[in-house]
Amino acid sequence: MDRRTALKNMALSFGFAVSGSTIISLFNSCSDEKTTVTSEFFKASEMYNIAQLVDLILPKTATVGAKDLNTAHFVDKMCQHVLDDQQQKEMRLGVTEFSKRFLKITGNSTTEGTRQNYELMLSTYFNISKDQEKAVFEMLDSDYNGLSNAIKPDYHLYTFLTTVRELSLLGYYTSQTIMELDLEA
Amino acid sequence: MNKAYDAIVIGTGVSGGWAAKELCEHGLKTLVLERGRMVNHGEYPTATKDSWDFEFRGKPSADANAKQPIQSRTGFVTQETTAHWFVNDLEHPYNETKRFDWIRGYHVGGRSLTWGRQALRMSDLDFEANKLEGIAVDWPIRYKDIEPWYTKVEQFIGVCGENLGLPHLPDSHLSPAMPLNEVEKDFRDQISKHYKNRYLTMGRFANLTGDTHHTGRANCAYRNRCMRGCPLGAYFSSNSSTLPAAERTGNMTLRPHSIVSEIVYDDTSKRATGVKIIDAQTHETLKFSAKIIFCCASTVGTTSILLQSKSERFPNGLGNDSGELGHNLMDHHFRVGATGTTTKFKQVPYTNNRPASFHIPRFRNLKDTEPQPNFLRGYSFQGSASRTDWRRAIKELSYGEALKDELLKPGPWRIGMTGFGECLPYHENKMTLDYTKKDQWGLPTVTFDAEFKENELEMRKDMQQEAIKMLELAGFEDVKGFDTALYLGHAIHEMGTARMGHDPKTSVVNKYNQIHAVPNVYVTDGACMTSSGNQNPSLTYMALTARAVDHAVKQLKQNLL
Repeated sequence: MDRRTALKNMALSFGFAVSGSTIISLFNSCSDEKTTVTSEFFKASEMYNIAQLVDLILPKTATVGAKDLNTAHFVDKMCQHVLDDQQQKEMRLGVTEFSKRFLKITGNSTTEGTRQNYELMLSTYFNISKDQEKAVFEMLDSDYNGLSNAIKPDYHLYTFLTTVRELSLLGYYTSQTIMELDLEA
Repeated sequence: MNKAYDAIVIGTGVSGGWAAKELCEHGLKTLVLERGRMVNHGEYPTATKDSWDFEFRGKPSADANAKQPIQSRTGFVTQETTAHWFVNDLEHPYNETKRFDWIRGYHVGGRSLTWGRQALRMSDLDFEANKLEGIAVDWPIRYKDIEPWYTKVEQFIGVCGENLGLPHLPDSHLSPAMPLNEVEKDFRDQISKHYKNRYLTMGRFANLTGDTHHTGRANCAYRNRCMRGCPLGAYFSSNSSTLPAAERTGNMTLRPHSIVSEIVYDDTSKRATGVKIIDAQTHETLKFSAKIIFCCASTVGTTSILLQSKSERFPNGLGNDSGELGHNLMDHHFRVGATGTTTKFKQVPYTNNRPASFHIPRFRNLKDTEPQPNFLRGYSFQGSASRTDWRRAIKELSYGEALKDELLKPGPWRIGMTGFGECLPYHENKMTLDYTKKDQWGLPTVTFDAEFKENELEMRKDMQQEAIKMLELAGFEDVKGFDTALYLGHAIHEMGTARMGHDPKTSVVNKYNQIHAVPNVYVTDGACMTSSGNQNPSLTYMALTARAVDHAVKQLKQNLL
């Protein structure tokens, strides 16, 4: 049993109320640790894409950013263990499609891409009208086998981008660091 | 026979726990059999974990999902927080002539650990309906027969909520209700303003509030993690409440890993003499004898055991003279209703940890309302209002600083509610046993063949329409209805396959839950239900069980069993 669990059990067994701020002060030394781990789902070169995208989606401001919380590795882990075979296949097609378009739009390969290049990619595919955004999610919700071959590259690209975005939000907003910020709010 | 007992209880869920407690407290040496593993109160491995303690932040891994393809149909029970309370579908297969979502856990406490805790009484509107409408068979009891037992159960398990004095939702023995939030209060006031016979109230939940002492349990601390098991025992489960009470008497022998394969019948005495079990770990076959047997293995579990218990006298299963055993399978239908948002109440302090929802009791086809043209019976709503969190941005393509900082704040209020509708008992909705497909213990597997029909489908149209109308009248914005494709079993309220009735020719058990032709066998779980009502049914199972034990004990004293 780790220290945090032990303290919580103790609080529960004594029946006293522990406020959010008390929990934070008790456990402030147990913050998320930054560790370097080998990627499981994405190739090492692709992890550079993920890290850049995650950092742009949830950048550091007055509060920590997704990069500070190793969210790229969380995205990688989730793709490896939580996505099913079909979703994994679509993600692999998506990362390939992203790389192709990256070269076409920025003139660089993804591994040589600058932060500005990645920003341009996100801006191109995310800064779209509300109607277009709705159409993207309708496409993603539709039956894959019913899609025309002309649409499928878009489907793969947006599968990749929206999955990275959603998993980044999940990893970031359910992390100890952010959940405890939320408690203090 | 290995050992003789006064009583045997099969199953440890809400019904089995109550049978165990009552029988033991009456001084009967009682063997309590559970097919799954042991879970002592407090052995809840995820109860004190936070979101970041879960490797996948609560989401099931693909490997885990592959082992629970049926359980994962619910969309929620197989999350990392609760997956261990639900079966491995690969190890426990069954067959679906028509889709049936059989959601269950094999462990001590059963689904009492994961139940929704909504504890609503049925009324004579429910108990009289079959007779008045000529549907199926008449309930052999009325509200007055069960009323004291509802009270007894509520006193012990602890139910919080609000009494409204409605004839179709009888007042209960309640501790103070959990509070409605400001949006829900406003919705309540708007409903009262616009409708004469509709009320919004806090749901009646088996979570402790108030100052009544419950041995070994503490008041709800609003952790809202009930389904994981509560270390405080703040909500009712067999593990925290009835089984410890039974244990305290010294009369209970609890035997996990015990799969009952048959109830043994003796045609000379016209009584059941005991049960055969297979030890799930050793595969050893054992026999235990007792004077009375309580079947509380859940609707499908109990019915399977009875169907398996064949003899010369009962070639189609114990007590199946009527041919109704396995038929009349019901479940509530839900996942139909509406959602909306509001921009009001932004400044109201807010927490989202209340483990309870609001309730709008049935308002259709009451005694004093115009009959609905398209459906019999009725439905109620359950729902809640809360402020949205970061997940509100999932279906967007926004990114960057503005998004990140915005999602650190609570989002707009959102309200949602789903109906819970009555399902009529149809003879053709059934479960049977397939002896050509056996499980790992050599027992036949269950085949389901049941569907919702026109009455339920017509009711669903009204449920969605009325949910939309109420939210719109109350001033909510962006109101949207929903009606999710639904199959029996999904509400996890399966019931009806060994129904109560007056007549042995058309029912399986009598008004005291005794099998008509084998009076020392009682069926008191969901199998005994003659109709479903729209109320969450566990409270009724517990009350019927307590009532049946009282009857059994009196019968034993008079040497009638």
